[in-house]
Amino acid sequence: MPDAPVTTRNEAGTRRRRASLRGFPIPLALIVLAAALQSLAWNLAVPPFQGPDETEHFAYIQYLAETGNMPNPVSGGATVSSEVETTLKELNLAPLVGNLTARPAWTTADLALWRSVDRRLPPGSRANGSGPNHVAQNPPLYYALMAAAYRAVDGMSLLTRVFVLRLLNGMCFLATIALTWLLAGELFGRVRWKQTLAAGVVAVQPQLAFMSSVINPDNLLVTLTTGFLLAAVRLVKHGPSLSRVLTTSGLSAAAIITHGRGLVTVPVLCAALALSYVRHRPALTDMFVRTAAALATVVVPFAVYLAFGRSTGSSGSSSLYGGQVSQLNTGSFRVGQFLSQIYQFYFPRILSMPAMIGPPYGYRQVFIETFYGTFGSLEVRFAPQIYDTLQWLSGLGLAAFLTACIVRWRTLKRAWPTVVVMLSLLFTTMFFLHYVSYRALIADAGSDPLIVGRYLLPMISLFAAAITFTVGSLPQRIGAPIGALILATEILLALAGIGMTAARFYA
Amino acid sequence: MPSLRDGAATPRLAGACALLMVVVVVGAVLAWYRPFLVRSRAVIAGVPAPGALFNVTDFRVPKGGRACMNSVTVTPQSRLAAFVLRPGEITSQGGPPLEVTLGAPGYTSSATVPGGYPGGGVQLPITPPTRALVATICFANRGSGAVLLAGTDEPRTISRPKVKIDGRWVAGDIALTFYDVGDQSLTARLGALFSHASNLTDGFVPEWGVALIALMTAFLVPAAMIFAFYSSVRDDELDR
Repeated sequence: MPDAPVTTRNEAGTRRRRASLRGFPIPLALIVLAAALQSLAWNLAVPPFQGPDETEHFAYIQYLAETGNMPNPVSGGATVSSEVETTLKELNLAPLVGNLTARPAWTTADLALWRSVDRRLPPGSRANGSGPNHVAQNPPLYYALMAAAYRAVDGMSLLTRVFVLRLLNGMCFLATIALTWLLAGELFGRVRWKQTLAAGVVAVQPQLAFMSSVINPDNLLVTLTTGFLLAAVRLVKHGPSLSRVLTTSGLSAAAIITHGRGLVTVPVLCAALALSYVRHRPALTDMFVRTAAALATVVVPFAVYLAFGRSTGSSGSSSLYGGQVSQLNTGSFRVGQFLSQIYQFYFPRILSMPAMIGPPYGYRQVFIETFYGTFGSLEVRFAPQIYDTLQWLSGLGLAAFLTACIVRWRTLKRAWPTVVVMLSLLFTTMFFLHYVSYRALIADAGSDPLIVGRYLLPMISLFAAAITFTVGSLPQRIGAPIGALILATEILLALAGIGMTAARFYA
Repeated sequence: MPSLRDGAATPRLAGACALLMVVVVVGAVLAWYRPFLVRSRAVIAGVPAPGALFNVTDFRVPKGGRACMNSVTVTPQSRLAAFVLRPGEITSQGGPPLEVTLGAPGYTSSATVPGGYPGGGVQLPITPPTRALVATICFANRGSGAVLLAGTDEPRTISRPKVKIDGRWVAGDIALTFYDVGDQSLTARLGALFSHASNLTDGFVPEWGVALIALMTAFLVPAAMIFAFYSSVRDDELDR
């Protein structure tokens, strides 16, 4: 019976596949386990309030939870509550931010002192962080969700509340991984190793794992944008059913009321709707109904935010995203200067060009250093040679990706609506970030280019898809080992990041 | 709509991929992680007040004067008090002698920086307490000239301790770090790291819990990722 072993193997494979399809696929479950452990380890490695703007984000949540109101971005009695201020001071957490020579007050004696001071705080000490808080310009969805969680644990001490809220941010990370798995399934079919590679690339991306352990609306934004991209791809692939339209537009709306950077989903939504209509040609009335449904889904929550939720802007009047949008459109905008700025972000200056505004800041800082991993408040960094290697590998990866695009041009052409949706997210995001950076540099006389690598994380599923597409374009016997190498490298970076950060704060 | 799918796996590929990952991870752990983990480094017992980030502030202690900083945590590992000082005036005799005293209920320690120094960082041996406690440190100028102690009055680097010079409160902190004598590797200090991390959760995650999570992260994260990739490639092979 020469065929028997083959039959048995196929049956075993089918059983395994059925088993995994009924529940959670085993590779995904393992990846999620690895991600959950990393997030937990990061949570412990980073002392409270040491993530990017974590103090201000927590202050927003606390004020909203304690009073039902949003803090003010430009005025008020104090940025943080007396409770937070006391903790920052008593445990030396404020001078710790960004200062490599500092350490937190980490002994049991410090803890006892903090507890005794905390116990003596007067009533209302949690509810007086009314502002000025610069992150109060952010829309309220993330903070409202976190405020609900805060209420559930408000009997705990401040340090424990921060720990628990961080765990909830970790849940966003896990959801992002699962959504990337599903996106890879849509893009590459149910080829398990490709789904595993895509989800794995996200799970062990050091910067994303670090961010998942701190209180920051970027975590929800990343999840929503990943979910939105999946929904948009499904929309153009499978057609504009009402549920798909509502899901896509609903996720876009949620992203918009999570962070100003969520606005990048709106042009992508428009593109996805248009492409799905072109591709699937629904009846004219269906098209109108679905467009109206999408519009309502985006506009209604946004209008509610505008009417009730927005905070007072820098002008003193209630304005969009705390005045950020109007600020972005004030001052001079010169197209030539803007394009020159973008060019010099990526390439060396040509002599005829005007000098770059602001500090020397380009793709290396954004796409390499702060995208792959710069931790704490940007003070915990890998050695320069690690970034050099990552830059070299990224360049190689980009060349390989472009080669794969050329070689598999026909495949991409057949899937053009999907490709257009993905590219529209890429280009919209990049244009938005360059525009914001340019405006910020003009507004503050070139002191702060504003953008960092974590602003690219909402596109993390695109990054994973690009890697998977490139590696998956190779013959399997070569592609799978290269995928294994990529994952192994990322695992090493991820664990090194946790170790370095723990040593920086606790050794 | 066509997908971007292509062919599936070749036999034994899953095992080869897993082996490759194991080799890379173990190799890099030995080549990259190990030196970081076993390298001896100074043991920081505590940083009651870090230095300035941008602009150093000098705290002037006049002759016969005394600067005291309260709320300074001292631990059983605090065997060296490190700070930066220089003479208030440039003279051929160098800086004046400085007596450093640490005091708390049931604990006192005293040491002196001899006069004649040109200025710079100093690590002064002190007697540590038997348990961590919150003390006051005083710098008494025993010489005939002033002494300047480096510190900070930057709002973002000001710490819990408060400084009095000759009985008057002043804004800012004198930069102070405590070290243990001798160097130690990170692996030798893992217990301390876990304890510090646990304390910063207010004990919500006990020390053993931190140790367990660290252990699981170090071993299970690579293992889970390797097995995930192995099983996915294997499943694709078996489905073929």
